[in-house]
Amino acid sequence: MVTPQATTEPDPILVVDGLTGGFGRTGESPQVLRDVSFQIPRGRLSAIVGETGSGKSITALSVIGLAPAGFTRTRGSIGFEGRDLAGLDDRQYQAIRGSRIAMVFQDARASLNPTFSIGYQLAATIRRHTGVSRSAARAAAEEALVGVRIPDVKRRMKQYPHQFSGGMAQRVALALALSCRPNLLLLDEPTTGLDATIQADVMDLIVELSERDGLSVCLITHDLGVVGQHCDHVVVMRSGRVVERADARDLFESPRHPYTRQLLAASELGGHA
Amino acid sequence: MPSPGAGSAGQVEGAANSGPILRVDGVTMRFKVAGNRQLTAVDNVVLEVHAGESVALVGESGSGKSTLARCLVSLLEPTAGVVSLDGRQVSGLRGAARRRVYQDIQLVFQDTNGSLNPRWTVRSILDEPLRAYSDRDPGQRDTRVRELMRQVELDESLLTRRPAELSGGQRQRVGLARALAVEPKVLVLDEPTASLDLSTRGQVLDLIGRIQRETGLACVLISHDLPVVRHIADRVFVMYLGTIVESGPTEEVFRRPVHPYTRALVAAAPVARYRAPRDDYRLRGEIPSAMDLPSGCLLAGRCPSAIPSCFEVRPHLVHIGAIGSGRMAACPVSAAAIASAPVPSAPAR
Ligand SMILES: Nc1ncnc2c1ncn2[C@@H]1O[C@H](COP(=O)(O)OP(=O)(O)OP(=O)(O)O)[C@@H](O)[C@H]1O
Ligand SMILES: Nc1ncnc2c1ncn2[C@@H]1O[C@H](COP(=O)(O)OP(=O)(O)O)[C@@H](O)[C@H]1O
Ligand code: SF4
Ligand SMILES: [Mg+2]
Ligand SMILES: [Mg+2]
Repeated sequence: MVTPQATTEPDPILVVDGLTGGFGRTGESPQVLRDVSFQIPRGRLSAIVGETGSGKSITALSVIGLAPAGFTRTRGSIGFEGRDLAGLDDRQYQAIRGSRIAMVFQDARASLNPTFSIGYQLAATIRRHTGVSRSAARAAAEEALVGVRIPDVKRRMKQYPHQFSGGMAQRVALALALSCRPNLLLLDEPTTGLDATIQADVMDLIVELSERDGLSVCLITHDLGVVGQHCDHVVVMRSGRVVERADARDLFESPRHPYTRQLLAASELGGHA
Repeated sequence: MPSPGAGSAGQVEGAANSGPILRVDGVTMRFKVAGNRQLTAVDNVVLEVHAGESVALVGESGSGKSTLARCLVSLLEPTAGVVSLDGRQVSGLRGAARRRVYQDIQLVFQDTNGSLNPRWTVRSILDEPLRAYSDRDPGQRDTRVRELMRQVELDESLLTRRPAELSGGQRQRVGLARALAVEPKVLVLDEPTASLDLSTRGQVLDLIGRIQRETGLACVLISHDLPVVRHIADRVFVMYLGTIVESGPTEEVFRRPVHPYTRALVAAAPVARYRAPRDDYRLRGEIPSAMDLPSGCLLAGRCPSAIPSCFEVRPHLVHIGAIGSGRMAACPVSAAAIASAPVPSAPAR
């Protein structure tokens, strides 16, 4: 096994170090994260890639303190803004989640509440985090939807999640995540299941927003095309371990781990120029 | 890895001595929907597939690919048009004649989760079509089941498992084996790799390629994964809102798309390299409902190249001879641009 390449990031926004854990009472059997260590550079786009079940989502969920019930962290730290988040309790996490670190979950539609209108959900989230008046929250919600380029916002505010296409639901989830101006945005497969045409739109939007707000973004994805196009730093996971981490250019031009090479080969399939 | 779809060469050879194995002539499929309205899912599609050839259908969700696939295998009776297999008309057949045709064309479903009976073991799933469509005795059927497992590279120990006890890749292989059981001449694969991750996807594709080489099977592949299409298909048909908007040899179509829709599809799928040069050609908005189709070009509302006349006249699929044989597209604007600036044909490979 090739040791993950050390990176020299001067001022990372997130430093995950030795994260280890699993399901079951002791968190030891079976282990799903094994000594996961990586850094997310500030103000740029990074990616975590790897096959199904490799532990990408659990890692991201651990970072925002939402690891699924039954998951136990046995070791490791999560450094963010000078603190170790791994030790925080639920109340301390509340203060960070949403306003400092936000996450868009795999399958955005499922994370929207089907029984409330889009406008109501957005405004409620904004009020919860900022405590502004009802009408100010409504205005901020409209602005957030305009920001993610939802057409016809006044009408859309009154609609329910099922009336939104997959691409639209994804934009709403993005608006929701960005509404409280986080510094770090975690996106779990933000475009999986969408048509390539819509994926491209959503990715363009993510890149534009991150540039506008100087946001640090960590993308979990299977799409190495998107990684090559937009990301600066890449973490490759397999079976709960980080097998390679590298600047994107190095990863594509001189992958070190055989598994990374395998992923790249599979993405190019036809090997076309 | 085997070489990608062999471009123009494969197609011509297949056509040399015999007619097409599959002919689709003007197939249209309309559905009745609430409020006594109609929805046109597939509109006047024409295509031919030759023995041993692979063609692909690409297009966004909702463009009618699965509906067309269901018409091909007689799961749907088209509203208009004719599907023929090996020169025999399929549509409207009943009884034994229909069963014989059914053996010749098999569909591998988009969702293997829903299409394999969850209560059956892999053995029963593979045995069922043999019992229904062949007169093999139990011993011969057992031999055939084992042969199929070898063909799709599954261990015989999996024969006693049920679908829920298999991984996605294994389930996809069982679906493939079931389709191959009755030795079809044409295999229709609906998004065979959509639910698989990258490494499994490569394996399943290699498997399909190998089986095709060994058996001379023709394939109709439905996918919106362009690298997959490039890997497998000799020719590609690009579908939008039920109509074919472009067709031709896969490599040539993807290298030099004529129709704006094709160009946008290619531009939207970045290749897995560091900052590969990219084409910013984007469609506006999302695919509209198939219920209220505009009278002009179906793409006009989203097309970056549209001119006023596009909103009035529905273009037809026509030959675009200027850029090589076998190329067709339904966009007079692009066709005119090519005609006024002809590019030397047959780009060097
Ligand atoms: N039984 C049906 N009744 C009414 N409408 C239908 C039916 N089946 C399909 N449609 C409609 O026909 C159109 C094409 O559907 P189809 O599922 O074939 O598209 P597709 O391109 O294969 O999409 P996807 O890639 O998402 O599977 C859609 O607008 C769909 O809603
Ligand atoms: N609620 C759970 N109970 C038990 N195991 C789980 C649970 N959630 C995830 N796992 C396991 O944890 C591992 C990593 O999962 P996940 O982080 O979701 O992977 P990825 O996002 O890369 O697909 C997998 O082996 C998965 O089966
Ligand atoms: S006919 Fe007009 S609207 Fe249609 S694809 Fe061509 S340029 Fe675009
Ligand atoms: Mg996941
Ligand atoms: Mg489909």
